[in-house]
Amino acid sequence: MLELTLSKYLVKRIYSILLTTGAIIGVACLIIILSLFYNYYLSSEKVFMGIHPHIEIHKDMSPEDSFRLISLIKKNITEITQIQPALYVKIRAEISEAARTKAFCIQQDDKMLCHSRTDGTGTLHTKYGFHIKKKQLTDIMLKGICLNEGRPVMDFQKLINGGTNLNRIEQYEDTNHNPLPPGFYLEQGLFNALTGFFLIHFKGLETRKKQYWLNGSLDMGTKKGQYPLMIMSLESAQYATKMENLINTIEIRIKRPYHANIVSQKIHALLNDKSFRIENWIEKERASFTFLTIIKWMIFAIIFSISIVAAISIFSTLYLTVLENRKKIAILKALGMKNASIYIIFLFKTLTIGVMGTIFGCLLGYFGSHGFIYLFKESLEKLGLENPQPHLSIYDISVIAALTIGLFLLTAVIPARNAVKIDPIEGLNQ
Amino acid sequence: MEEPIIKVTDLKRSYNLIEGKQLVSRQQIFDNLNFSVQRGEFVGVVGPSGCGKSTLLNIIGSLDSVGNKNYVKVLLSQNNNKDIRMPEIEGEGSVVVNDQDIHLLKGAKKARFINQNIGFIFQFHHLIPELTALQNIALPMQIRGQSKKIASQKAMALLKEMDMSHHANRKPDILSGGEKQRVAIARALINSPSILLADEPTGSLHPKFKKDIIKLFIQLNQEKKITIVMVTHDVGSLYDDQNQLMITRLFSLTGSTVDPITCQPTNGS
Repeated sequence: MLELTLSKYLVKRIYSILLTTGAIIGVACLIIILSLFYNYYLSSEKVFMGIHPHIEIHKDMSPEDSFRLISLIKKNITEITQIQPALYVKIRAEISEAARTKAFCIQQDDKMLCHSRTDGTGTLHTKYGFHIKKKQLTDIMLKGICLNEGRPVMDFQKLINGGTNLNRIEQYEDTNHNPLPPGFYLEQGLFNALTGFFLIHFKGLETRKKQYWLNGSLDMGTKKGQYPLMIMSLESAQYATKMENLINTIEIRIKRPYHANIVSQKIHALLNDKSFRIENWIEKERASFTFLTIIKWMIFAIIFSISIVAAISIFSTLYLTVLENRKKIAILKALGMKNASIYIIFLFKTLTIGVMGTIFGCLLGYFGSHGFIYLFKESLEKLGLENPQPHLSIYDISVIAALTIGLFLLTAVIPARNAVKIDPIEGLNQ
Repeated sequence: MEEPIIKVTDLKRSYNLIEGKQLVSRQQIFDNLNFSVQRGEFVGVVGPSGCGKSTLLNIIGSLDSVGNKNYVKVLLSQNNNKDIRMPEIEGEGSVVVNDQDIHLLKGAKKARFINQNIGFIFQFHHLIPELTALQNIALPMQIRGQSKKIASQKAMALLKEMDMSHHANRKPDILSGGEKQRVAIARALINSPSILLADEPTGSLHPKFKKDIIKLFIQLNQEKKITIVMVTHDVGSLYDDQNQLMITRLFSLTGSTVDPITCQPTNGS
């Protein structure tokens, strides 16, 4: 096409190369940063999915009612993969990290300073003492959950630091039938411990502290709730909170988490009872998702400034090109070239730069993001991004390409208009 | 009688010299100029410098407009601070080329008219230096919408006609003045225009090339029946060795006849 050929001749090759390089750098930076951000996004999403079941139905009910409700939902909603009763309460607790030691009895003046006794079979009951290392009095969200073949409804295993065998929270005695303290998981941050003995006193419910075993801590670094989250078995939670006959939540896991809204509506229609409060994880984390999206676009806007700088360079180059090539443009007009074709010459130039910049920028961004993550994987993991991987979505690449090319095309408008306005007589006499 | 291919009627053109919002002077170039060219004529336009020869050619070729242009603000009077808009170039009249009133041509229509009807040849060739001779010649045909292949074939044929096919892939910088002008003529001819407008085509050439170029124009006029209007200072080159005018006629913008010996307009009408 003639316009394309002329666009090559009007702008000096070195300028085209430099401008295309600018565009490539801009696009590549955008892709690398967005790829990294996507890791952060996925990391946050993993936490959201970990701390919420896909769908929750809230209502105080008896265990029998909850089982009836569960079987009704299971029967009618095929998308469900797991559904369990749970207890979810806010409670005030004094939590103490403790080092457990065997209590030795000291004989003094023919008396033992501690009690030891044997039962009728002669089994020795060992006494333990606790050394309190750290104590916190705080409001917590206590969640009592049920497991199905060792799997919870909430996908919080990925958040666990420490023991990932969830069956431990439902294990109350060892293989020798010796009693075990109830296991629990606690949000990381309150205590540094990953496992260990804790003494917990649920305020207002019990008169004294009880022994628990921290099975693991929950790494919720990218998303902290209003209150620290404590997870234990439903039985332990009911016992601790003196709500033995209460279920207040039905937790549901579905095949496709992003269809939670649709499944929620189906459940709502099935139950047809306003006393049930149905929530899904997307709804609960809407603000967080919105925040992440805003941050993503803010980062996009900041990095896109590189492309804006490249666009300004293109504008100034084309502007000068028109001044330098007044005579050539006048010749073209004298040969009968239409104004539209003169416009197209400049649009082609910026389109070429934009398309080349986008293609090579995408390639550089693709390999750059792989290289960046390969080189800085450990540092990123230390920052809380688990197993970082390059993530490039077609949507993001399309937006980058469209904005870059659109912006570059805009830069051609004023120089092209100036070219069209050139008086052929003045141009030829230059 | 056949309608003239170029008909200029009552053409007026004046330049207003404006400095600091003040009208300093007014120079009239044309005052009711009438000029017509019949199809197939070869007319030489002569006149002293600054009398508007090139302007007339540019107006006929639609590069310049017939009416007013370049409006600027000027003070109405020294006592009155009120601005009025005044054209730096004033003009009126009628110019009809190939049955088309060129005053009515605008935008794409005007570009198409120039491309299909007019072939321009300038004193300084005005070739695009980045393009080869062949590409320069093919340019107007490609602008017309023809494919590169067809345009190149026709350009090559024209180069052969001018005995310059060996220069096809050379850029204008390495061609001589005469060769450049031949390339410019080939470029003007590629769309088979009905009119060639030549503005001092021999002005920048070495004397030995001048005769060749004039001969080429005469040949084009006689063999291809192309109407040619040529602005020139070099009236002498339009006469042969027997002092016979080789072209159809001369037209003096001063209204006088032209002395073939001195190449200057005489006082007679």
